[in-house]
Formats: sequence, C-alpha cells, structure tokens
Amino acid sequence: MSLIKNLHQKLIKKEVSAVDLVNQSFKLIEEKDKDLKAFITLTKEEALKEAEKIDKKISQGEEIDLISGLPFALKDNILTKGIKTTAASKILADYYGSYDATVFKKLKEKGAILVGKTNLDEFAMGSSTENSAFFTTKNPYDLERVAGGSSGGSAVAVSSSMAVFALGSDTGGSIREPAAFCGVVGFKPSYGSVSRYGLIPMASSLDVIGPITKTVEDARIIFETIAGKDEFDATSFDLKKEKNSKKEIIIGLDEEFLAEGVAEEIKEKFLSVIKKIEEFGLKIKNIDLTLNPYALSCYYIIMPAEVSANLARYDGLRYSSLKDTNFKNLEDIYFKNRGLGFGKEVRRRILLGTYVLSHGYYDAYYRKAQKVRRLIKEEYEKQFQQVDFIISPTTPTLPFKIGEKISDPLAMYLSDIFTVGANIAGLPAINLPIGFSKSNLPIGLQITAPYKKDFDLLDFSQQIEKLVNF
Amino acid sequence: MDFQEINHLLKLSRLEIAEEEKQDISNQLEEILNYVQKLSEIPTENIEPVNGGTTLINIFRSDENPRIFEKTEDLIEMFFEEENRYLKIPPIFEDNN
Repeated sequence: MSLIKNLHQKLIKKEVSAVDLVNQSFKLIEEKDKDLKAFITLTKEEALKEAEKIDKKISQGEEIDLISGLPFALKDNILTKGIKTTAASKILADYYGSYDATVFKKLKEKGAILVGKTNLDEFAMGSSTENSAFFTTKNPYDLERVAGGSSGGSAVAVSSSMAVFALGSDTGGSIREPAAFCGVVGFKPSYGSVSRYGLIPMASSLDVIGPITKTVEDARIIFETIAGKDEFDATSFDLKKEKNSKKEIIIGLDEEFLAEGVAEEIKEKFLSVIKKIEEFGLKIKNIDLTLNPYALSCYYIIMPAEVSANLARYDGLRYSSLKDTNFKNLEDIYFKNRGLGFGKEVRRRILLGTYVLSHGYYDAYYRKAQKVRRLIKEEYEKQFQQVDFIISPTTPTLPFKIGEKISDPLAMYLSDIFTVGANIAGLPAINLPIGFSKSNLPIGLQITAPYKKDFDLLDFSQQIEKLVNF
Repeated sequence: MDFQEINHLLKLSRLEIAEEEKQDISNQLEEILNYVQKLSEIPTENIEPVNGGTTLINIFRSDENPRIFEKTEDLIEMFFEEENRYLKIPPIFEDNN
C-alpha cells in the first residue's frame, strides 16, 4: 500500500538507485511541469549529489532510513538555507532562506532528497494558487481547472509523481483542499504537533505544516518524521502515541454538510462511502455542529488580523527590496515596497486585518471572533464525547475553472467552508481521495478527530482508505 | 466604506495602491465585512476569548546562559544596505534644503 515502503524495499534490494529515483523525478518534471507549473525552484544539482551519497551508503551495506533517497518537494513558504524561498510573492522574489526550517532539517537528516520548491497562493493566501505572483498551477486531471490551494504546487507534484511526497501548510484548508482537487492524501495535524520554525507565517494561531502523499501510511511516515517539540517553536509539543483500546468506533455526520451548495456528484460519492462504512459495520451517528456555519466568518476576522501583524515585517529593508527605485525617505521605502511587492489578495487581507484590529472595531470584530472561536472549540469537544471522528466532504465543489472565482473573493473563500473548522479549533483533519466525478475530477472525503488524536485519525483513515479502494 | 476610510487603512498598513483600485477594494471589504457580521447572531456574553491557538502556558526560563544568536551575518547580508556592519537606510526626515 505504501509507496514509500515500496520504494525503500527497491532501494535496499538494489533494484533501483537513489540517483534513478531523482532522475525519474526530473524526467517527469521536464515532461509535465511546463503545463502543470507546480514548481517555482528546482534543485537538481544538489539532489543528484545527495542521491549519490545515499547510493554509496547502500552499496557499503549501511542501513538507510525509510525515506532515504526519496525525492520530495517543499511548499515555497518553508525556509531552505541558500535556496530561494519566495512565498510566491514579488516582495520575496529574490529572498534566499537564511536557515533551514525544522521540518526540512528533519527530512534531510533522514536522507530524503529535495527536488524543488512548489508554487502556492502568495503567502499561502488563497484556494487555487491563482494568487501566486508568478504563475497558476494547473490541475493534472484538467489543465483548465485549478489545482486548489494554497499548497497547490505540492499537491500537483505528488499527484503527478514528480515527487514521492511533499509538505504543505494549512491555515484554513490549504493542505486538504488542493489534496482533494488533485486526488491525493493531505493531512493537517493538530496545531502545535509540528514545529512552525522556518514556516513563513501567515496566521500564527492557525498555521500548521503537514504532509501530502499518495497513501495514508505515507502520510503517517512523514508526519512521524517531522512532528515533535522544537525549542524554536514555543507552541510545539511531543505527541504521545497511545494505543486506542476502544472497541467500537462511532463516526459523526452532520447532515447540514450536505445541504445546498454542495455539488451533486460530491454528495453522491460521499453517501456511497457512508454506505460502505455502514455495511462494514461501523456506526454512524447524526450530530449537530450548529456553529460550523460561523467558522468561516470567525476565520475571516482572526486570520486577516494575524496576517496584518505578521506581514508588517516586510518593510523593504530586512528581506529584499525593489530594484531600480529611488526612495525619498524611509516611509517611502515601506509604502512602495509593500504597495508594489504585495499582490491584491495579500493587500486585501492586510487592510481587512488592520480594520478589524483598529480602535472602535476591535471589540465588535476581533474580540467577538475570538469568543466565537472558544464556542466552536467547545462544541467540537462536546461532539467528540459522543463520536470518535467526524466525516464530511472536503470541498463543496469539484475543482473549478481557472479564473472562475478570482474576481469574487467571497466565492473563493467559500471553498474552505468545510475545512476551516479544524483550524479554528486546532484539530487534526485529513483529506482522503474517494473517487472521481463523471468528468474524471477527483473527489475528497474529510475526517476530523479530537485534538491530539492524530495517530487515531491516521489509523482510522487507513481503514477507510482500504474500504474505499476495495 | 468610503475613500477616506480606505486611505486611513492604507496609511496604517503602509501600503500604496493605485487610485483606480480603491473602488474595488472598498466594495470587496464591505462585502466581506457584511458576511462576517453573521457572528453577531451568536450570544457571547461572559465568554472568555481565545488567545492564540495553543492551550500551553508560558514558561519562563532563568536568565542564565543566554543563547548567542548565530545568524547575524546572514541577516546583515539580506539587508537593504550596509556599511561597516551598520545597517543603512535612507533619511527618516527629508532634507528640503
């Protein structure tokens, strides 16, 4: 089942070399990426050098790690020392990471091989990668449609086998939605279970890094590699692996999630999976997440507020600056760099965040949202006393046409309607591919688990993955 | 949202945008603010707001063996302009003479 384990076996049996795997990745990138546009930066030279090292280890009979020699991709908002890290923004177009993100360091230590940095919506703000300052990533199943976002490049890299696995970041659905649109597994871990050190921050109380893979087992292998307490991220912690001793699993389903606005084909596919689950003998219980319709409103206050604070650091001085521009004075540097360096969506969110935090509006918007956030968290906690997991579709629609929603921000925001709840409450949630529409577009299922029950979620998802495939 | 308010927000955020973009921004912000207004339907009296995404409590360490910051050179290298390890910026006050 696991692609990673399968390739690892081939490597240690010397049926294939790490150099072969890297070359294979770049062959696919050369063939496909001119159309798909998943990558911003490629690291072929370094990758081949690293692969040779792994092959040498294997030939000398040294033991290698499960992910050693396997090509992977990183979303370009994850810092890589000496390698361009742009966040798909003009304001960082010439920025090279000055240190390695903890997740990258951990993967490198195990011998995994970086093949490139992937495209995203600028600073991870969007649901389609159309907000990238450089180009739009295309859906591998239909080049006229979006790959989803913001981790669209990472999802496409895995979906098209240009990388064995990839990392994305998820603030409101940015791992799960592109995974659903590209037919791959996308896992958003519990807030704090993976270090954010070296992740270019968007909304710090919501951001989390997670894997995008072909199978659930692969997602678990990568999650175990990157998770854990990090002295450079004060919110990080070690997740305990407890053996789940419960005999009967109860799955929660809120029928409101299938109400108007959900594409008919997604509904059908979702219900057919529910039927399979019931036939298998698992119990489904109806629940009422009455506050879920408010999660997106809550998100579009808290997130921009944090964005406006986090992006204040881009002053045109510390990271990189516009070239060939004469600046009158210090303020002029700020206004010009930020005005020209940030794209439309980023500017929109900065202004919105500034508004909800400003005097006279703070209580009505920001404080109100933080109170509702508490209520949403408590409602999840209450529901999880009755059920072990909650399932829903991952997205309300199939991958949409490029350009379809770009001039209507609110319509774009609604793509995240099923995914934001997990971020607001800090919960682990995963996208599993469950099949295709008649037009051959991928459809995803989302499973959400209680806070810190990441391993239970992965165990259960493996079970569902099997059920769906057979 | 009128232009005066938009201009104020732009100033607070240190953003410069083209005049013709302001109408769009104003409409879009209004639409989004209308949407999030939905929250007012939920009673939140006596509810403690969430601060940050974590339930962890701040832990202070003793002020001993401070970590030496090792990335100074990398940061200087990224900076706009430097001279003899001083970071250089254009004048803060304009000289009109």
